[in-house]
Amino acid sequence: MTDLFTAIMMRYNAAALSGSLTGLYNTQAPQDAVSPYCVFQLISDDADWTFSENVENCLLQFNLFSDESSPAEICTLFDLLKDAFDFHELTIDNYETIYMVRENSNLTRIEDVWQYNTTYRILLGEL
Amino acid sequence: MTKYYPKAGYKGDIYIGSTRIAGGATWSYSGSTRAMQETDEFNDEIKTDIPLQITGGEVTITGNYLMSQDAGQQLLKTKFDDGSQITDLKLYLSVTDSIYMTPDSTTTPASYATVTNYDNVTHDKSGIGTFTCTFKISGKMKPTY
Repeated sequence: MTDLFTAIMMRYNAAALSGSLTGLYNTQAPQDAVSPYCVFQLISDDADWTFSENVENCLLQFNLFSDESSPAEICTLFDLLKDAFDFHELTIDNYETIYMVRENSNLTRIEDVWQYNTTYRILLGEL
Repeated sequence: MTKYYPKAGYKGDIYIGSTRIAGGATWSYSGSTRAMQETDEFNDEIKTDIPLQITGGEVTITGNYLMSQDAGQQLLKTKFDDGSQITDLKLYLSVTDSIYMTPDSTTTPASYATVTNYDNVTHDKSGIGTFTCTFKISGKMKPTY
Protein backbone atom coordinates (compact mmCIF):
# COMPACT_ATOMS: atom_id res chain seq x y z
CA MET A 1 0.00 0.00 0.00
CA THR A 2 3.00 2.31 0.25
CA ASP A 3 2.87 2.56 -3.53
CA LEU A 4 -0.79 3.64 -3.40
CA PHE A 5 -0.12 6.25 -0.72
CA THR A 6 2.81 7.61 -2.71
CA ALA A 7 0.62 7.85 -5.83
CA ILE A 8 -2.08 9.70 -3.86
CA MET A 9 0.45 12.21 -2.56
CA MET A 10 2.00 12.66 -6.02
CA ARG A 11 -1.40 13.37 -7.54
CA TYR A 12 -2.24 15.75 -4.71
CA ASN A 13 0.99 17.69 -5.18
CA ALA A 14 0.36 18.00 -8.92
CA ALA A 15 -3.27 19.13 -8.58
CA ALA A 16 -4.74 22.55 -7.85
CA LEU A 17 -6.08 21.11 -4.60
CA SER A 18 -2.61 21.31 -3.01
CA GLY A 19 -2.56 25.09 -3.54
CA SER A 20 -5.74 25.50 -1.48
CA LEU A 21 -4.90 23.27 1.50
CA THR A 22 -2.23 23.53 4.15
CA GLY A 23 -1.59 19.81 3.92
CA LEU A 24 -2.73 16.29 3.11
CA TYR A 25 -2.12 13.75 5.86
CA ASN A 26 -2.27 9.97 5.95
CA THR A 27 -4.84 8.70 8.48
CA GLN A 28 -4.10 11.27 11.21
CA ALA A 29 -3.39 14.99 11.08
CA PRO A 30 -1.01 16.53 13.60
CA GLN A 31 -2.59 18.38 16.52
CA ASP A 32 -1.34 21.70 15.19
CA ALA A 33 -2.64 21.23 11.62
CA VAL A 34 -3.88 24.52 10.19
CA SER A 35 -7.27 24.75 8.49
CA PRO A 36 -8.09 23.98 5.76
CA TYR A 37 -6.48 20.57 5.50
CA CYS A 38 -7.30 17.03 4.40
CA VAL A 39 -6.77 13.55 5.80
CA PHE A 40 -7.03 10.39 3.73
CA GLN A 41 -7.46 6.90 5.10
CA LEU A 42 -7.49 3.42 3.64
CA ILE A 43 -10.85 2.06 4.77
CA SER A 44 -10.45 -1.38 3.25
CA ASP A 45 -8.41 -3.37 0.75
CA ASP A 46 -10.00 -6.54 -0.59
CA ALA A 47 -7.70 -8.81 -2.55
CA ASP A 48 -9.00 -10.75 -5.53
CA TRP A 49 -7.32 -13.09 -7.96
CA THR A 50 -7.82 -14.52 -11.41
CA PHE A 51 -5.78 -17.44 -12.70
CA SER A 52 -2.86 -15.20 -13.48
CA GLU A 53 -3.60 -11.67 -12.21
CA ASN A 54 -3.87 -10.13 -8.75
CA VAL A 55 -6.31 -7.32 -8.05
CA GLU A 56 -6.63 -4.97 -5.09
CA ASN A 57 -10.07 -3.45 -4.51
CA CYS A 58 -9.58 -0.45 -2.20
CA LEU A 59 -11.87 1.98 -0.44
CA LEU A 60 -10.09 5.24 0.30
CA GLN A 61 -11.71 8.09 2.21
CA PHE A 62 -10.74 11.75 2.07
CA ASN A 63 -11.82 14.01 4.94
CA LEU A 64 -11.64 17.73 4.23
CA PHE A 65 -11.68 20.12 7.21
CA SER A 66 -12.44 23.85 7.28
CA ASP A 67 -13.03 26.11 10.27
CA GLU A 68 -14.68 28.88 8.22
CA SER A 69 -18.17 29.81 9.37
CA SER A 70 -19.46 29.60 5.80
CA PRO A 71 -19.54 26.30 3.88
CA ALA A 72 -18.26 28.07 0.77
CA GLU A 73 -14.61 27.19 1.34
CA ILE A 74 -15.16 23.51 1.98
CA CYS A 75 -17.48 23.21 -1.02
CA THR A 76 -14.77 24.77 -3.19
CA LEU A 77 -12.26 22.30 -1.77
CA PHE A 78 -14.63 19.44 -2.53
CA ASP A 79 -14.77 20.58 -6.17
CA LEU A 80 -10.96 20.64 -6.27
CA LEU A 81 -10.86 17.15 -4.76
CA LYS A 82 -13.16 15.92 -7.52
CA ASP A 83 -10.99 17.62 -10.16
CA ALA A 84 -7.94 15.88 -8.72
CA PHE A 85 -9.21 12.34 -8.28
CA ASP A 86 -12.46 11.61 -10.17
CA PHE A 87 -11.66 8.94 -12.79
CA HIS A 88 -7.96 9.68 -12.35
CA GLU A 89 -5.50 7.02 -13.45
CA LEU A 90 -3.05 6.93 -10.57
CA THR A 91 0.53 6.29 -11.52
CA ILE A 92 1.52 3.47 -9.18
CA ASP A 93 4.69 1.43 -9.20
CA ASN A 94 3.91 -2.23 -10.01
CA TYR A 95 0.18 -1.59 -10.51
CA GLU A 96 -2.25 -0.51 -13.22
CA THR A 97 -5.19 1.66 -12.19
CA ILE A 98 -8.26 -0.06 -13.63
CA TYR A 99 -10.57 2.61 -12.21
CA MET A 100 -10.87 5.26 -9.52
CA VAL A 101 -14.46 6.35 -8.97
CA ARG A 102 -16.09 8.50 -6.32
CA GLU A 103 -18.77 6.55 -4.46
CA ASN A 104 -20.33 8.80 -1.83
CA SER A 105 -19.83 12.06 0.02
CA ASN A 106 -21.35 13.78 2.99
CA LEU A 107 -21.00 17.23 4.48
CA THR A 108 -21.25 17.78 8.20
CA ARG A 109 -20.25 20.34 10.84
CA ILE A 110 -18.90 19.22 14.21
CA GLU A 111 -17.74 21.65 16.93
CA ASP A 112 -17.65 24.58 14.48
CA VAL A 113 -15.56 22.69 11.93
CA TRP A 114 -16.90 21.75 8.51
CA GLN A 115 -16.08 18.23 7.31
CA TYR A 116 -16.54 16.88 3.79
CA ASN A 117 -16.08 13.11 3.80
CA THR A 118 -15.66 11.48 0.39
CA THR A 119 -15.05 7.84 -0.44
CA TYR A 120 -13.36 6.56 -3.57
CA ARG A 121 -13.35 3.00 -4.89
CA ILE A 122 -10.01 2.14 -6.49
CA LEU A 123 -9.39 -1.06 -8.43
CA LEU A 124 -5.72 -1.86 -8.99
CA GLY A 125 -4.21 -4.63 -11.07
CA GLU A 126 -0.76 -5.89 -10.11
CA LEU A 127 1.68 -5.85 -13.00
CA MET B 1 5.32 -11.68 -18.08
CA THR B 2 3.24 -8.67 -18.99
CA LYS B 3 -0.19 -8.69 -17.41
CA TYR B 4 -3.25 -7.05 -18.91
CA TYR B 5 -6.44 -5.85 -17.27
CA PRO B 6 -9.89 -5.03 -18.67
CA LYS B 7 -10.98 -1.45 -19.18
CA ALA B 8 -13.42 0.22 -16.81
CA GLY B 9 -16.87 0.60 -18.34
CA TYR B 10 -16.98 4.37 -17.98
CA LYS B 11 -14.10 4.71 -20.42
CA GLY B 12 -16.32 3.50 -23.29
CA ASP B 13 -18.28 5.51 -25.83
CA ILE B 14 -20.17 5.23 -29.13
CA TYR B 15 -19.36 7.12 -32.33
CA ILE B 16 -20.43 7.08 -35.95
CA GLY B 17 -17.45 8.61 -37.72
CA SER B 18 -16.58 11.72 -35.72
CA THR B 19 -20.12 12.14 -34.39
CA ARG B 20 -20.58 11.04 -30.80
CA ILE B 21 -23.86 9.38 -29.79
CA ALA B 22 -24.48 11.37 -26.62
CA GLY B 23 -26.33 9.76 -23.74
CA GLY B 24 -24.95 6.30 -24.54
CA ALA B 25 -24.82 4.06 -21.49
CA THR B 26 -24.28 0.54 -22.82
CA TRP B 27 -23.34 -1.16 -26.03
CA SER B 28 -23.32 -4.83 -26.78
CA TYR B 29 -22.31 -6.94 -29.75
CA SER B 30 -23.74 -10.43 -30.12
CA GLY B 31 -20.64 -11.60 -31.96
CA SER B 32 -20.32 -13.56 -35.19
CA THR B 33 -22.01 -16.91 -35.48
CA ARG B 34 -20.87 -19.76 -37.70
CA ALA B 35 -23.77 -21.80 -39.02
CA MET B 36 -23.20 -25.54 -38.80
CA GLN B 37 -24.83 -28.36 -40.71
CA GLU B 38 -25.24 -31.83 -39.27
CA THR B 39 -23.86 -34.48 -41.58
CA ASP B 40 -24.46 -37.63 -39.57
CA GLU B 41 -26.89 -40.26 -40.66
CA PHE B 42 -28.52 -43.49 -39.53
CA ASN B 43 -26.22 -45.79 -37.59
CA ASP B 44 -23.78 -42.99 -36.75
CA GLU B 45 -23.06 -43.03 -33.04
CA ILE B 46 -21.46 -39.58 -32.99
CA LYS B 47 -22.97 -36.45 -34.51
CA THR B 48 -20.80 -34.58 -36.95
CA ASP B 49 -21.14 -31.10 -38.42
CA ILE B 50 -19.56 -29.11 -41.23
CA PRO B 51 -19.08 -25.34 -41.06
CA LEU B 52 -21.25 -23.14 -43.25
CA GLN B 53 -21.50 -19.34 -43.48
CA ILE B 54 -20.72 -16.73 -40.83
CA THR B 55 -23.51 -14.42 -39.67
CA GLY B 56 -22.43 -10.98 -38.54
CA GLY B 57 -24.70 -10.62 -35.55
CA GLU B 58 -26.27 -7.54 -34.00
CA VAL B 59 -25.10 -4.49 -32.12
CA THR B 60 -27.43 -2.95 -29.55
CA ILE B 61 -26.83 0.41 -27.93
CA THR B 62 -28.87 1.92 -25.12
CA GLY B 63 -28.77 5.22 -23.31
CA ASN B 64 -30.55 8.34 -22.20
CA TYR B 65 -32.96 9.71 -24.80
CA LEU B 66 -31.79 13.05 -26.21
CA MET B 67 -33.22 12.94 -29.72
CA SER B 68 -34.30 16.61 -29.78
CA GLN B 69 -30.92 17.85 -28.55
CA ASP B 70 -28.20 15.54 -29.80
CA ALA B 71 -26.80 15.41 -33.33
CA GLY B 72 -25.59 11.87 -32.74
CA GLN B 73 -29.00 10.47 -31.87
CA GLN B 74 -30.50 12.41 -34.78
CA LEU B 75 -27.88 10.81 -37.02
CA LEU B 76 -29.26 7.39 -36.04
CA LYS B 77 -32.60 8.43 -37.53
CA THR B 78 -30.91 9.66 -40.71
CA LYS B 79 -29.00 6.41 -41.07
CA PHE B 80 -32.17 4.40 -40.46
CA ASP B 81 -34.20 6.37 -42.99
CA ASP B 82 -31.66 6.05 -45.79
CA GLY B 83 -30.59 2.48 -44.97
CA SER B 84 -26.94 3.49 -44.96
CA GLN B 85 -24.13 0.98 -44.98
CA ILE B 86 -22.26 2.33 -41.96
CA THR B 87 -18.58 1.43 -42.05
CA ASP B 88 -17.37 3.82 -39.35
CA LEU B 89 -19.44 2.73 -36.33
CA LYS B 90 -17.08 2.72 -33.35
CA LEU B 91 -17.90 0.97 -30.08
CA TYR B 92 -15.22 2.12 -27.68
CA LEU B 93 -13.90 0.09 -24.76
CA SER B 94 -11.61 3.02 -24.00
CA VAL B 95 -11.59 6.35 -25.78
CA THR B 96 -8.35 7.46 -24.12
CA ASP B 97 -6.57 4.28 -25.22
CA SER B 98 -8.31 4.29 -28.64
CA ILE B 99 -9.59 0.72 -28.30
CA TYR B 100 -12.84 0.04 -30.14
CA MET B 101 -14.82 -2.38 -32.27
CA THR B 102 -15.72 -1.39 -35.81
CA PRO B 103 -17.00 -3.15 -38.97
CA ASP B 104 -14.15 -5.21 -40.40
CA SER B 105 -12.95 -3.58 -43.62
CA THR B 106 -10.74 -6.56 -44.51
CA THR B 107 -13.61 -8.95 -45.27
CA THR B 108 -14.77 -9.43 -48.85
CA PRO B 109 -17.00 -7.56 -49.30
CA ALA B 110 -16.12 -5.04 -46.56
CA SER B 111 -18.30 -5.28 -43.46
CA TYR B 112 -20.87 -2.67 -42.52
CA ALA B 113 -23.63 -1.93 -40.02
CA THR B 114 -27.21 -1.00 -40.83
CA VAL B 115 -29.66 0.60 -38.40
CA THR B 116 -32.59 -1.80 -38.19
CA ASN B 117 -34.37 -0.35 -35.18
CA TYR B 118 -34.12 3.15 -33.76
CA ASP B 119 -36.20 5.45 -31.55
CA ASN B 120 -37.08 2.46 -29.41
CA VAL B 121 -37.94 4.65 -26.43
CA THR B 122 -39.08 4.01 -22.90
CA HIS B 123 -40.20 6.83 -20.65
CA ASP B 124 -41.35 6.14 -17.13
CA LYS B 125 -42.73 8.66 -14.64
CA SER B 126 -40.39 7.44 -11.94
CA GLY B 127 -37.28 7.30 -14.13
CA ILE B 128 -35.82 9.00 -17.19
CA GLY B 129 -36.37 8.52 -20.90
CA THR B 130 -34.16 5.85 -22.41
CA PHE B 131 -33.62 4.57 -25.94
CA THR B 132 -32.43 1.43 -27.65
CA CYS B 133 -31.01 1.25 -31.15
CA THR B 134 -30.12 -1.90 -33.04
CA PHE B 135 -27.68 -2.44 -35.89
CA LYS B 136 -27.45 -5.50 -38.12
CA ILE B 137 -23.86 -6.35 -38.89
CA SER B 138 -23.15 -7.55 -42.42
CA GLY B 139 -19.76 -9.22 -42.26
CA LYS B 140 -18.27 -8.92 -38.80
CA MET B 141 -16.95 -6.47 -36.24
CA LYS B 142 -13.30 -6.45 -35.36
CA PRO B 143 -11.37 -5.00 -32.43
CA THR B 144 -9.03 -2.13 -33.23
CA TYR B 145 -6.28 -1.05 -30.85
